[in-house]
Amino acid sequence: MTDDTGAVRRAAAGDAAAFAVLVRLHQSALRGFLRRLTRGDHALADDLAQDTFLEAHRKLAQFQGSGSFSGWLHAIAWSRFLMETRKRKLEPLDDDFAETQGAVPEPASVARLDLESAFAHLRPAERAALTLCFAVGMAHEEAAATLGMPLGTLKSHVARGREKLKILLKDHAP
Amino acid sequence: MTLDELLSQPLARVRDDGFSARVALAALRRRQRRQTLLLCAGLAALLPPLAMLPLAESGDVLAASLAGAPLQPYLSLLAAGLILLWALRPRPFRL
Repeated sequence: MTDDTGAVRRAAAGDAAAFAVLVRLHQSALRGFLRRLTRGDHALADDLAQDTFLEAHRKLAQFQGSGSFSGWLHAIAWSRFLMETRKRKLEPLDDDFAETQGAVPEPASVARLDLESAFAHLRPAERAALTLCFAVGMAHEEAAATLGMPLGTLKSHVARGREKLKILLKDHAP
Repeated sequence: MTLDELLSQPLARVRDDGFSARVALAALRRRQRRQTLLLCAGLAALLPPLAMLPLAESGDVLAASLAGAPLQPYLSLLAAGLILLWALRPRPFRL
């Protein structure tokens, strides 16, 4: 994790070059996170990433520095993704729908799935929770704060997501 | 490889391909738009008080005094210099 404090302070004071450095440093992680959330829709993920950075630029002065800058960016990205999902009705966000519709397909129908394809079968909150806790390497507490949910809820998403992935990847595992 | 090991692999690196430059440019444009709006709002706020001032009379008095002033060419040069400086001002000072 990089220490962005100096660059954030300069960018908040209006230093365009410092902001450009922050974007360069974090673009890959943020776009990767959003690509996973949007189930591989690169164009949508990049649009959301750009909106995220512009919102961050507008609100830089509000960044307290209590958490990491990366976590703050991921929180904005998650909120942008949720807004876009509701606006476009991309996919169900609530728990009940996924449970009743059977979000996890039978293993036989998902043979040869790789991890990214398997992720597409998870609910958005499960994708976000697993990605932040494992691939990004956040502690559960930080991930919960980033996603704006209680710690217990985050842990449930992680556990449910892992179980689903286990089933989905069962035939794929060596 | 276990599921946890698979999940713990970092996200695939996304190549920049001009993304950062586009974002930085968009942020700069937005900032400039905001500054222009603020300037316009400031000028608009100044207009009503200006309309109340007796500028026509003051202008006549100023013109008459400048016409008789021995330093008139120097004042003209100074004004021209200031206008040139404003036109050629360095980029960071532009709105």
